[in-house]
Amino acid sequence: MTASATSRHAAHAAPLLPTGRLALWWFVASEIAIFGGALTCYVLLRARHPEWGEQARHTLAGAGALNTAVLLTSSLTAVLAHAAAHRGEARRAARLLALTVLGGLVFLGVKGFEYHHELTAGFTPRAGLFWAFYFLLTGLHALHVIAGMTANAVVAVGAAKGKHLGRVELVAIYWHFVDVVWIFLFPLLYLAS
Amino acid sequence: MRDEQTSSSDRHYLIVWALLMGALGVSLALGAAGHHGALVATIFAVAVAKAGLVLTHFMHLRLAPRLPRLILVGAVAVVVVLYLGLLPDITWVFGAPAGR
Repeated sequence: MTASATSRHAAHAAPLLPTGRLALWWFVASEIAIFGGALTCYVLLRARHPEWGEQARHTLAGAGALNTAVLLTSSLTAVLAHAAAHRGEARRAARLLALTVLGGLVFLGVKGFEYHHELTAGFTPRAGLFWAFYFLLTGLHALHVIAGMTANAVVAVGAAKGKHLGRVELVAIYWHFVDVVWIFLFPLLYLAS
Repeated sequence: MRDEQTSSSDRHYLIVWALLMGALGVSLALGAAGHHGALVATIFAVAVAKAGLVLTHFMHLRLAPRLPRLILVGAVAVVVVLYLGLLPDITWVFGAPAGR
């Protein structure tokens, strides 16, 4: 093989980005389309329904703020897990991923408390369009939190055995995305009343 | 040397986390201050800033190759086009009262 053919072959053989990471970014992009579409509809309709502000006052802003802090902190543990995995510190990465999963559990617990409070007060998805959006957006987000927790737990088990440390970065990226979605949900649903 | 690198990178993430928590506090203070249009816009701007911190520092987008950034920009562009496309129908309904 000539020198130029060798270099062409090498260029085609080495991917610009690892396949798993590329696939994850495409997945995140598809999730942006889903959440972005739902949030866009909410924002547009919210502008035409100023009375939704009164409805939003019945959400528990304190619980929402606590959940924001919990998710931001779990994003910290996720990125620290990624850094530890990058350095080859498998057990530390596993412990930090376990803390990330714990953060998700706390988030879901607080969310469950909020749902119980709102549903027993009569604010169900049928109570009005605001509440339909509220339960759609937060429920969809909660499902993503559960999926993220599951992925983090599976990778944590592997990392504890020193296996597949490259996956820590992937689950951490997904978890940060779940956090970014909540960063927008919190002010739109709780604060902009 | 390895311990110095570890503490340096971890310290960086802790600083970003502290900034995020501070931004959360600012959002809460603004939310309690009232509900004028300018305040709501500021709250949303703070949310965008927080998202930017997570994207660039936690998701390492600033260090990533161009392709992931293009993919995300493309997805956001789709949402923006959706918003602009629906805006005339939903928000500006000529002659019809709000809520109809």
